[in-house]
Amino acid sequence: MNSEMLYALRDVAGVPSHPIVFLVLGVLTFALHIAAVQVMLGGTALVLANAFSRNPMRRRLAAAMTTTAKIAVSVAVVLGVAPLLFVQVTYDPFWYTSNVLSAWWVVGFIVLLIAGYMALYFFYSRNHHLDDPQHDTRSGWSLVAALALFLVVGFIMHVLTQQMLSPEKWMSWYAPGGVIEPRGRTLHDYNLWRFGFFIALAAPVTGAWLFAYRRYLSAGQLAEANYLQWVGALAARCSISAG
Amino acid sequence: MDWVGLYPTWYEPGVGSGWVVGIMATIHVLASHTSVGAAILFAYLAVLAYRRNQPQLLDYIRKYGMFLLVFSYVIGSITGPGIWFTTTVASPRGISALIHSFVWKWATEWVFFVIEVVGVYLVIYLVGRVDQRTHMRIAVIFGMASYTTMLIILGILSFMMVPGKEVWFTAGGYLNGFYGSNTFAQLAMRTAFMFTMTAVVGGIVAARITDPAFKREISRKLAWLGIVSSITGAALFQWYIRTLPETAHLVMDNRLPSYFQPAIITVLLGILAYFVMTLISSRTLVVWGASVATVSILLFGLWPEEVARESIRKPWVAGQYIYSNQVVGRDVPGMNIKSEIPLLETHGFLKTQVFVPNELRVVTPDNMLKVGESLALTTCSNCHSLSDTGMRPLHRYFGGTTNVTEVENYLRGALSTGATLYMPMIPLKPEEAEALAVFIVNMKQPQAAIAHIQHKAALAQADQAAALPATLTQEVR
Repeated sequence: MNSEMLYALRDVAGVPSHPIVFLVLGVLTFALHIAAVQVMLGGTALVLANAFSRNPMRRRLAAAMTTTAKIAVSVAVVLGVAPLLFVQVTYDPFWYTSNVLSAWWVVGFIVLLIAGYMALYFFYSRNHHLDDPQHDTRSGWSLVAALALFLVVGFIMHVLTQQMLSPEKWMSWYAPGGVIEPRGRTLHDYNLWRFGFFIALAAPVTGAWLFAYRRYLSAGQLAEANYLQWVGALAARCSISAG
Repeated sequence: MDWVGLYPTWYEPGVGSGWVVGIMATIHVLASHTSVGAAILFAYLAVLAYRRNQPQLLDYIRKYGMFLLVFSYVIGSITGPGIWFTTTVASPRGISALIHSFVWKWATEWVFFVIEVVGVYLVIYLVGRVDQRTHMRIAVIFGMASYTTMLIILGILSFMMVPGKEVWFTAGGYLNGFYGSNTFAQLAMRTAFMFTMTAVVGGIVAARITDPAFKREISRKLAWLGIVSSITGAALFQWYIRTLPETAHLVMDNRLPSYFQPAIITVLLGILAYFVMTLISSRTLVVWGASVATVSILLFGLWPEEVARESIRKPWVAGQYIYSNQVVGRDVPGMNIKSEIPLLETHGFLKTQVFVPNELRVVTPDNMLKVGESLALTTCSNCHSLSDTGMRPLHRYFGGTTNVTEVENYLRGALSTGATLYMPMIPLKPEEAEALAVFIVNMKQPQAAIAHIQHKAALAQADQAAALPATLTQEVR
C-alpha cells in the first residue's frame, strides 16, 4: 500500500467542507459518545457489584444504576452516530478498509449490541424491586451477559480503529500469502493497553456521574445523610482508582 | 499509472452481503416507521387527552411508549447505524457517496434524532408528573422531530435511486440532489404506510387494555388509522412508481418475479381485512393476532419491498453514478467526478485495482482460477452469490453452458461493452474475461475449467519451446 493507492481510495466527490471542521466535530461528538459509553459500562458494573447484596444502600444504588445504564446505552448509541458520520467523511479510506477486512465482526457488532441491550432490559424487567433487599435478585446471568457483550462490542470497535492505523498490513490481512480471504471473519490487530485505557476511564467518569447523582439526591432531599455519604465515598474511590 | 480506488470485497457465502443489508434495513424500517408514526399518534392522543380531559389516553401513550422503547428504540436506534455498518462492508463506495454528498443533511437528522430520543423518554416518564398542557407540548415537539428525521433520510434514500434533479449531474448542488419528485412521492407513500405499521403494532398494546369501552375506542381509532393509511399508501405507491427512472421501469418489467405485484396486493388486502375485523369487533384484537399481523408486514410487505427497491436501482447503487460493483460508471461534471470506465478499458481491473495481490496482476495458466475468483469478487459478488445459495447465484446466468469460450464471448461481447440491460458495464481485458469465464465454469463443472487451464498451459509450453531455439540462436550470435 503506497500513498497513491491511499489517495485513490478517497471518495471521488471530495470532502464537502474543510476537513478541520469534521475533525473538530468528530472529536467533540466522540468525547460525548465515549462519556456515555463509560457511564454505561461503569453503571452496569456497579449494578453487578451491588445487586446481589442484602445491604439496603447497595441495593438502592444497584436499582438507580440499572436505570442509569439502561438509558446510558440509548444515549451512547444516539451520540455514537455523529462521530461515526464524521469519521467516514475524513478518514474514509482507513475506516472502510478496516471495516471490510473484519466485516463479519462489523455485522456482529450490531447483533451483539442489540443482544446486550436486550439482556440489560431483561434484567431490569425481572427486578422491579431491586432496591428492596427482601427481594431476591433474579436473572443475574442476563446482567453478566449484558456487561460481557458491552465489552465485546467495545473491543470490536477498538480493533476496527486499531486496524485503521496500519495500511501497510492491509494487503497481507486481505490476501495472506497472495490468497484472497474475503469472508472478513478475522480481527487482525489489537492493543490491549489502548483498549484497557478506554475501559479503565469508565471508573473516573462513573465516579463523576456518582457525584452528580449524589448532588441530585441531596438537592431534592431524596435520600438520607448516610446514603449520601456512602455514595460520595464510592464516587471518590471510583475517581481516584483509575486516575 | 492511476489507480481505481476499489476497496477490498467482503463476500458472505451463505446469503450474500446484499441480503445482510436487506435484512438489517427491513428490520430497521419496521422499527423506525412504527416509532415515527407512533410519535405523531402520541401527539394526536395527547392533544385529545388534554382537550377532552381523558387521562386514560395518556396511560395508553405511556404503555405504547414503553413497548416501543424496547421494540423500536432499542432495535430501531441500533439498526439505523446498523445499516451504515452493513452497507460499509457490503458497498463501501456506495455509502461513501451518500455520506460525502449529504453529510450536513445527516448531521441535521442526527440533531432531530437526539430530540426524538430525549422526547420519547420525556413523553413516557412525565405522564402524570407534569401538567397535561406541558405534556401535550412535549408530545407535539416529539412528533415533529420524529417526522423530520424521516423527511431528511428520505431525501437521501431517493438520491440513492436517482438524484432529485437532472441538473445535479451538470451543476452539482446538494439540494438539487436531495429534492426531486421521487423524494416527495416516497415521503408521502412512506408516511401513509408508517401509520399502517403504527396501527398494527399499536394493536399489540391495545389488546391488553382491560376496560372494554376504552379498548373499543382505541381499537376503532387504530383500525380507522390502518384502513385509511393502507388505502392512501396504495394510491400513493402509484405516484411513487411514476417518479422512478426509466432504468427502474426496465428492471420492474423484466426482472421482478411475476408474483410480486399480486403478492403485495394480497398482503394489502389481508391487512385491510384485519383492520375491518378489529373495527367491527374490538374483541378480535388480541395480542397474538396483532403480533402475527406485525410479522406478516415484516416478512410479506417490507422484505419484498426492500428487495425490489434494491433490484430496481440496478445497475446503480447510488446516485446513478456508482455502479453496484462500486465502479464510478459515469462523469458527474457538477461534482468534478470522472468515470473510471475509460481507465479500466485501457488497463483492465488487475493492473489498476488497489486490492489485488501482486501474484494475480498478470494472468497465467497457474493463477487463472484465482484471478477469475478475484475478478468475480470485485465485479460480480455485490449482486451475485458465488455459491449455490444466496442471491442470484452467478453460475446460473449463462444458459447452462460449461464451455469456457462461450462464457468468455458473452463477457467480452455483452458485459464489457455495457450491452446488457440492468448490468453495469464491466470493461474486462481479454485475458481477464477468460480468467473470469474459467472461474464461472469451474463453479458448475470443474472438469471443464481444468481442461481449459491445461489446454492453456500446453499452449504456453509450446510457445516457450518455439521461442527457445530463436533465443539460443540470438545468444550464440
